[in-house]
Amino acid sequence: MLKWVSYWVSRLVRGSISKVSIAVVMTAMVLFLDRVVKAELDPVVASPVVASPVVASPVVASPVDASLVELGTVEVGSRLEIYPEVLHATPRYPASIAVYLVKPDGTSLDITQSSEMSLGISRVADSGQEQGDEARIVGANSQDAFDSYGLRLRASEGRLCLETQDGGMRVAGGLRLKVRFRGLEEIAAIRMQADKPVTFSREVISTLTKSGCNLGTCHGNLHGKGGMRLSLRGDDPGFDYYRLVAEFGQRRIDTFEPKNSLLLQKATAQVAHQGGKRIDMQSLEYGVLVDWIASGANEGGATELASLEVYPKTQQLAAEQREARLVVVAKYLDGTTRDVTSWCRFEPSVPSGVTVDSFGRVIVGHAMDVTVSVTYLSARGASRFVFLGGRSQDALKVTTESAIGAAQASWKQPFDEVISQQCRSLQLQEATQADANTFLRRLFLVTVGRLPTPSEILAYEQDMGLDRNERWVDQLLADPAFDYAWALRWSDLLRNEDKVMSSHGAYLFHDWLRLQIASDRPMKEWIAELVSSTGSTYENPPASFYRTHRDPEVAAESVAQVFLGVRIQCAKCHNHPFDRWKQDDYYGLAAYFTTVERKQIDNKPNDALDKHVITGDEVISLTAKSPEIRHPGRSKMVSPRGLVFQESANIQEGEGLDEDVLKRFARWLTEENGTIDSNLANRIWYQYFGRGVVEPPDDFRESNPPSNPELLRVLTEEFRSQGYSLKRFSRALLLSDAFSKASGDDSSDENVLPSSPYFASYSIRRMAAEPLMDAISDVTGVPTKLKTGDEERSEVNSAMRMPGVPKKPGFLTTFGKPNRLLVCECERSNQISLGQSLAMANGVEVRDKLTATSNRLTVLVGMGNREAVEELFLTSLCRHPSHREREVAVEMLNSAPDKRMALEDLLWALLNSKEFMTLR
Amino acid sequence: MAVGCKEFQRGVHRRKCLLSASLFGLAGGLGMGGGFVDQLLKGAQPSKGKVRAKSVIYLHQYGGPSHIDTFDMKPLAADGIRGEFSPISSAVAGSPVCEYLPRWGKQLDRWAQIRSVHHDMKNHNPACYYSLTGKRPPTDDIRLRDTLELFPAFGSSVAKFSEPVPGVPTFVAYPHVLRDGAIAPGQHASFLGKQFDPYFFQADPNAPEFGLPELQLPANLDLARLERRRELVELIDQEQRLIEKSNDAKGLDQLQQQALRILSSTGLRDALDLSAESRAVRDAYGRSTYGQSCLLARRLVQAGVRFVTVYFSQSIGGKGSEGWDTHQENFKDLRERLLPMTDQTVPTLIEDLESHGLLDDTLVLWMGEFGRSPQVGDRDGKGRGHWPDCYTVMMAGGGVQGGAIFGQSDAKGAYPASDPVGPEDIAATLYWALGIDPHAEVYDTQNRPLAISTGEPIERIFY
Repeated sequence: MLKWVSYWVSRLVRGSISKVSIAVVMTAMVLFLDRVVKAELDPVVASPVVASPVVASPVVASPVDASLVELGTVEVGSRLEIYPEVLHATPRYPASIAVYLVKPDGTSLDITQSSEMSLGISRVADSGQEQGDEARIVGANSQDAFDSYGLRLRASEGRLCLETQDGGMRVAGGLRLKVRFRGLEEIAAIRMQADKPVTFSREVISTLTKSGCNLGTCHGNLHGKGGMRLSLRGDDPGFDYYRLVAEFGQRRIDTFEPKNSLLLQKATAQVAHQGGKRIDMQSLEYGVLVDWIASGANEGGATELASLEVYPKTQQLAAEQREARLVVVAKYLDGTTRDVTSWCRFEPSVPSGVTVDSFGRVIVGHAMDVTVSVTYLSARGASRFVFLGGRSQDALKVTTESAIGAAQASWKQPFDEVISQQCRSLQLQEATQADANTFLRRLFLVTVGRLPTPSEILAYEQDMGLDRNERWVDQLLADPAFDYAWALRWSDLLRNEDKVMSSHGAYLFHDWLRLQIASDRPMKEWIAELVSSTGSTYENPPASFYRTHRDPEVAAESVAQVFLGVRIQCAKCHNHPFDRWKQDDYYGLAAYFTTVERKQIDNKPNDALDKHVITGDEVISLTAKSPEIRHPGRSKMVSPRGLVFQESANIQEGEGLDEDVLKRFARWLTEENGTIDSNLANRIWYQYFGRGVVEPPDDFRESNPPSNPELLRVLTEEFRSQGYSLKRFSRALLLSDAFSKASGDDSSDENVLPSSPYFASYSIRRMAAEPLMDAISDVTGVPTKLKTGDEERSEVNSAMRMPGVPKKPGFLTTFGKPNRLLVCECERSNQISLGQSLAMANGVEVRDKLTATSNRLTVLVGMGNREAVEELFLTSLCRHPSHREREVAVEMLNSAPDKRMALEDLLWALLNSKEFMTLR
Repeated sequence: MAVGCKEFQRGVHRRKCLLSASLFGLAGGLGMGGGFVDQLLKGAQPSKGKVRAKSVIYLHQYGGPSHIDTFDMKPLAADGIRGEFSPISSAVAGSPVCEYLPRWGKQLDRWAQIRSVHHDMKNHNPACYYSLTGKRPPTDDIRLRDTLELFPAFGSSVAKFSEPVPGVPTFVAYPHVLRDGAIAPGQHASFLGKQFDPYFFQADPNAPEFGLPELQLPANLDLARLERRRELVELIDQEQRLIEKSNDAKGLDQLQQQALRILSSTGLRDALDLSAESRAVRDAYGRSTYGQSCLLARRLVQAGVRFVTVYFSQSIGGKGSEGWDTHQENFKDLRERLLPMTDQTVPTLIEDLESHGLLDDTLVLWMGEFGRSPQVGDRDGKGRGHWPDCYTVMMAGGGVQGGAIFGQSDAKGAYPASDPVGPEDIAATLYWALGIDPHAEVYDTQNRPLAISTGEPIERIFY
């Protein structure tokens, strides 16, 4: 029977049947499949169906779901994946099932409720002998009766689940779930367990969290709401139990008449509730709360979670798929395991175009790469789904083409292969190599923050050596401008701004950073020095870290975000709502910085009330006190303790504090925590590619995974093997295929995934403020004088070399130079605006340089028009003019009454071209 | 550090406003503030199809001003609700205002009050987006990201449906970028495209050196030469076809076209020259960023700008600074800082518009992202929390019936007691007053047709 179906489908796919008949056959097939399903259940019905395969009778063609064509055949090499591998079911916690058909190209279809799938439950006796199928259901059809094991498979509320009647106490030996789909078969184990009594810390807390009662905007607020306060997201069950059961003489629950409990009446909006109706009276949640109250509203024991598993970890959904299922399984320390899919709170990483229902179904409106965060009690988990979107036909074409491309490629760097692999699996076409001039311009801008000069361009063009790029990259890495570019970046991140640093201090700190880069000192070494230095910030500039980060909390937040990519700020007041961090972690980290003292030497701020201004030197020292900080949640003092990133790493509070506390901290930061390496590798990658593998580059968490996890792993490995050398690691990145790819098309078509997050192409972005300003200076030949505010070194002639921040808004701030008040990469804006366009078209900055009496044009006036045009294109766009551009420009100069003015016009046009303003 | 307001944590109140309104409605009707409502409105017959306003000045009040301590006072409510301020009588009989708004009270007969505005967004940024676009955000989450999926600012939608006035931008916004930690969405054109973005600047109109030098063309740069330059840019841009490939390049191109149009005329340049105003006028507005920004708004409208948004503050404020987020010291902040500045500037703007004959053509909107909780006692006991469930929005000019009061709140100022309206309806009212079909369609990035507003205009407050 199935053979017959696949025969027709394969004929359809080969296109040997006319389109009209496809519709007819498909419609018939849908009807037919339906009967096949029934036939499998009931052999008596089967024969007449088999006897009538003729489908010529005029069936009215109805719209056919195109995905059926795709589903028609199972490609060789396809397999089934069932999640979870072991199904855990109790009467109260049915086991949900997710079944994926994974095709050979790695993309999958969620077939959990496909009408073609059949599921059977069989028993494995103690002898290991399998005993025949006893329960069986097919796809969306539900079987209402419990079978002899006390189990039933049921499709309910958008999911497929396995329910038990009494905990399966009657079953001896193991049970197995057998999933069949078009000749494929896969098996999962079934564990049946009895329920434990409803426990406050498990069922009640998870119900409150799922229903949103204990969110920050509701009762989870620090001040509660409407006189009732709960711990944020159920962090503290003991506290919540007191509030619900004991506070105000038990007015919130009624154990004699559970449904009259104020808790339930409020939650179901039977009495006025500011938060509206949170729980439906027909729901699981309502039943749980009633049961709990009826059984005496006991606190019961504490529920200690051992782990939370979210299945699948990641899945790439094939073209046109819009739905995928996840399953959540909790393991408790008492050895029990529960399917808690319906007891979790789901939060997708993409704010719109996607919903996750309470049964773990992820439904999207268009192509997207979405990570769903899962909260259950105190545990967090996440699952990533990449929906390829698009149409299957387009995708097919791309796969074929890129497969051919890949076969021919030999990768320059190990990570290039990792990128290619992902592009193939995401069916993204990799861009070809950028042309030499585009590449050179890009290389100069990301490394030394300036454009190549015409002579450099010509030299590069004429360089025929096979190792041309190697030599050019090496030369740029050795250029002092490279050190300045990185000193600028680190000055941004370490908040090197004049107010708190003083202009002289800002200069010294900037210069110290520059020297670390120039000497290519291993990055972790100078970071360790930075975070453990004390003394005069003028004599020992790395001590400036504690000048810009003025209290223990701010220092902890900065260290976490800048070096570890952890945004720990939330955990100051409560456990982090979207990440694993707790208040204990926050204060443990902050405790390291509690003995740092600051003494001003010559502080004469203009405004005595402005505590943000410190002039003169400042001396950082450590007091003799033992480092500890008050933990407001626990109302006790805590000792220094690093963040724990891996379950295995076990750092004792206060361990090793006989040595200098900052040195101890530096050792933890750079050697012991294990995550700084990938963080730094990602930051460096971000500088050259315009976006991180983790993006934004300072937001590492399970719910914001790297766009390509393997790429991040390989890069981190590379960075380690290069001894944390910025220059050697940079060299590898700059000499990769990835870096030399042509820039891609990023126009927003939501039907397909964008290519730049996966580095299938290079991203186009507006040039940053400083290189743009310097490029205008270089092209016009008029340097910019920028005031630093420092007496010793009062002027710099390059925005890339400015140590501090501009005092007043101007060109640089218009183009998004940060004020350095945050440690966030996001402070630098790459937005475009009308103000920027006006600044380029007629701002003083550009205008004055264009018309300056001694600029590049002054020389060009005396040259031949052809040469002048050539030089202007080379200096600004780093390429030769096209034939058409040359003809038009030369003709304009030839016929101009005032050649100087005509040259100004041409240069103005070059500066205002999109090509000039973008880095691509 | 970037810290959001303490109330930022995610959560959604799916309040059934109408249910609440009906629960509290009776009490509201019996309390004060009910009887006089709608008296003025009964006779007003809206005339269909008439364009009432040519321009809009939107005075956006970030942080969320307290409605109970300004225009919707509840002197008969309990201690913990009515607050510290006393009502004083105004130019509208039966509609007292706060004692710290005496000037505004005297000209209240120029204003319509909408006292039943409500929505369900409790965080600043989502609520702010709602108040700037009239669209309900997909989530009440401080992390609401400013993507091209979100809706354009009012002014951008207006620009989309307006004939451009040569030489001035259709939409001007200043002098702050609103942010509560992250930048609040709704301040730009989003999916309409960069050409409908506001002409935006952060320069302080109160600064002595205020001016935008990029608007002054050099003497030897005439229009013919500017056009020659534009043609050259076009030639170069065609070579690499970046505009087709990149959203940024496309945006840059659209903005450049707009910049060149502005440079080739004098309208905007002259409007920005505040030194053309007398010292007396400048003083009357108040020598504050807000005061001079409002004066500038009048000059921009005079020059033909269709939509001016003046942001009151760059952040929500609180703890004695900037915006209206008075969690901590509600009464002190209002009395010492927020209300005096408001009472000097806003009534001056109305008088000034009137004396220039602009008030009939200019709709002035005074609105924040939400009101503040009736219950006093947030934080240390002296603040009021966020309250989107009911608050007051003020409108004047542009055909608004002075003295009109639309809708009413309940006895506590907690929920609408009658005629509940949402930010959608405020949006619809703006578009309708400008003669733009409130349900006109725009297309998003998916080419889906969407109505610029899903609300209904409050026609009854117009004569």
